[in-house]
Amino acid sequence: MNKKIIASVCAGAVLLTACSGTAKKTESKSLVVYAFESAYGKDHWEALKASFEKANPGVKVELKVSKEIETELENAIATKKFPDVVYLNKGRDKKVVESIEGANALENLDSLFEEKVDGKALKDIILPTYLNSASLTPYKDNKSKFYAPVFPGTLGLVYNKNLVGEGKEFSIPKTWNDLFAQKVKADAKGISLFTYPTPGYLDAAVPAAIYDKSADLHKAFTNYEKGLYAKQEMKDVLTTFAKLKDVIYPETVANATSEGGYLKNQQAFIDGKALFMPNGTWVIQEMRSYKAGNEKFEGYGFTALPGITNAGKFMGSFEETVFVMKEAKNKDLAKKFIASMYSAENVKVIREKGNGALMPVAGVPELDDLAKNGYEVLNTTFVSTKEVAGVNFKEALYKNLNNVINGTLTAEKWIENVGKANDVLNANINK
Amino acid sequence: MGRKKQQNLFVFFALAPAVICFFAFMILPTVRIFLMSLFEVNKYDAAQTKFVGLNNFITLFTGKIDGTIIPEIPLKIATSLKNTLFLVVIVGIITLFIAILMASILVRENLKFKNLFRIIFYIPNILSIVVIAGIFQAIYEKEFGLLNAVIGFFGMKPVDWLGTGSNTIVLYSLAGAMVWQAVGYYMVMYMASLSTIPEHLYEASALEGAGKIYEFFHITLPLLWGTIRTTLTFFVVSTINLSFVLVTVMAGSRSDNEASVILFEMAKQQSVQGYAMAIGVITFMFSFGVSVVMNAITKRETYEF
Repeated sequence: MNKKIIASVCAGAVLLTACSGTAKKTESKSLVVYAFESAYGKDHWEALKASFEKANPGVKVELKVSKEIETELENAIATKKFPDVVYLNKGRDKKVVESIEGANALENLDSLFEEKVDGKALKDIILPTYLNSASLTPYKDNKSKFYAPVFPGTLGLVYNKNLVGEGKEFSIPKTWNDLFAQKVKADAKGISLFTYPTPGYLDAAVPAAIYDKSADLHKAFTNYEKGLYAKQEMKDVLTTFAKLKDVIYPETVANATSEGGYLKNQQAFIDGKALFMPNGTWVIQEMRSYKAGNEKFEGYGFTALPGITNAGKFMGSFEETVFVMKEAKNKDLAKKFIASMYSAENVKVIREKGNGALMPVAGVPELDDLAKNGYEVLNTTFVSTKEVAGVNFKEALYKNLNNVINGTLTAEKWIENVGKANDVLNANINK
Repeated sequence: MGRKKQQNLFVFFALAPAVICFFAFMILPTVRIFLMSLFEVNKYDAAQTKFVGLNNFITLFTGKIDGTIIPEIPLKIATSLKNTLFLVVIVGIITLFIAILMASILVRENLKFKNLFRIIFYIPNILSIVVIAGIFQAIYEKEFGLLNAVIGFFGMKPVDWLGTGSNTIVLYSLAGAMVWQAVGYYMVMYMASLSTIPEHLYEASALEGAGKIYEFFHITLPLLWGTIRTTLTFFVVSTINLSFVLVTVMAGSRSDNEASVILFEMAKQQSVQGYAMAIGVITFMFSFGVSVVMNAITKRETYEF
């Protein structure tokens, strides 16, 4: 008797799984979307999925939003189950996107920008600054776009409104020398002029200073031009940043090198221990629960990144990107999905559900304000190179600034090391 | 089928699973590490993976890449090996000393709450190493950390336990955490070994008028020697492994190599697999070498009872 029951249950189970298997087969296309769970959260991705499924009956979006998306993506690639749409940025420790780019495994997205959304081509919807951004065209001799720009963030020089500004004790610097010139006054008050959350936050300030020297220098910088760091012009710029040593908030390096310590540096800024720091607009959101410690804090002032000789006018732009892999199964559908992110309706949804994530389209007040205040957005994207063993350019340039500041590395040696990393990468540029 | 043949067949099938697993999960990956270290691996396009001979090792040892020499590369590897060796030696010696002392006190002396102590000493071993790293981060924290609060109570200046710079003590701090987590485990091992030493040896020596310390050095230590030698190899392997997690969590974003250990250097290179595997080969040789040396210098005549 017992055996019979078990047997029939088994049979039933087999039948059920068989049925569900066939049921899946009859279902039409599914689109696999992998998204990194950033500070913007995952709600807007859920909303995008729902709206895309509604607009495209018969399409099922398999959405995976995770903080560990790099591992998931690598596993998926290793088993040849390529996702269709990927939202993940460059500049992360694991360098997954860099490797994919370096292996020429990205799908050309030129046709994406011709797709029509709300009756208009995507290339007419996306703001020109972001549409023509170098971040979309990673390869040196190929002007095709391989990424789509999403969620742009703006980096500038942030100052403490309590102490800096018109009618306040300290003035807003236009150049780095303006900033250094206020040292005596700051020392007298026992305040430091500068801090950074981590030296990586200088990745907009350094390029802006380079661009201020000359646009050609900036071009050489992003193209890893051979011997660039032996040039006096470049040395001048980097030596300026080495001078931060004299004006920096003393705990900066200790904080910048400990886990989560960047928050402490930002707190020091709020507490009025440091006057300026490079940071993005997101810092307001990030520090909302931390600033309680200082009731007097009036708020963040944002201004352009200082220049070297001319008055600074640039804001750094940090564009996040989505891409499609060459090996993806549903490339057309993937492009349709990406295009749908720019529809007027979804732009609104993303903003509401994505903790204030912006889309680079017209009518976004934060982006409009930049132009209104006379700022220009500077995008700095390096040409794609092969991953080279033992060479980490960003570490050499930015992270090692910590060592210059704590005195374990001289400015000359620092510049020399950056130059070496630069020259090696020059020899490994992807064609 | 003859009985002998049957027996052989049984032995074969009984051993097969273990041998297959050992081969698949130990031998094969190890061989693969050696092989992969000779390639420039492209994860996304296997066709682009190419054989580069000893290039990865040349880069590691001389810093030579595409004609440019970056002396920092071999320097970094050397520093990380030095740090690893330092941790192996320091943590090994201190743990060994404390563990044997505790074990012999707990086994030989008539203490109250013996079992309670045993449990307390063993607890760190149950905790995940990540948790331990978290605990010690809270202890060592400069502004609000436990340790600085305690020494502040005695009027001492706060110390930057995990600090950077040229005179950092971060390695000693890491060693402290590693000793804390390892002592219990080795203590239990030594206790097991100690309890097999026959009581009559101690009785006899006591009758002859030997003191506790004399007994320790002339009975306990020689008879424990075999176990100690075995655990030395454990020290090497576990220190290399654990130091990686501790450094990653507690000093991971250190920009410089003051606290870098060899596996950490390897983990940083995950985008260039072949090169990372070359570091893996060096790690393998290193741990193998250290174990051999340790075994050689601790070789003594074995005593039996």
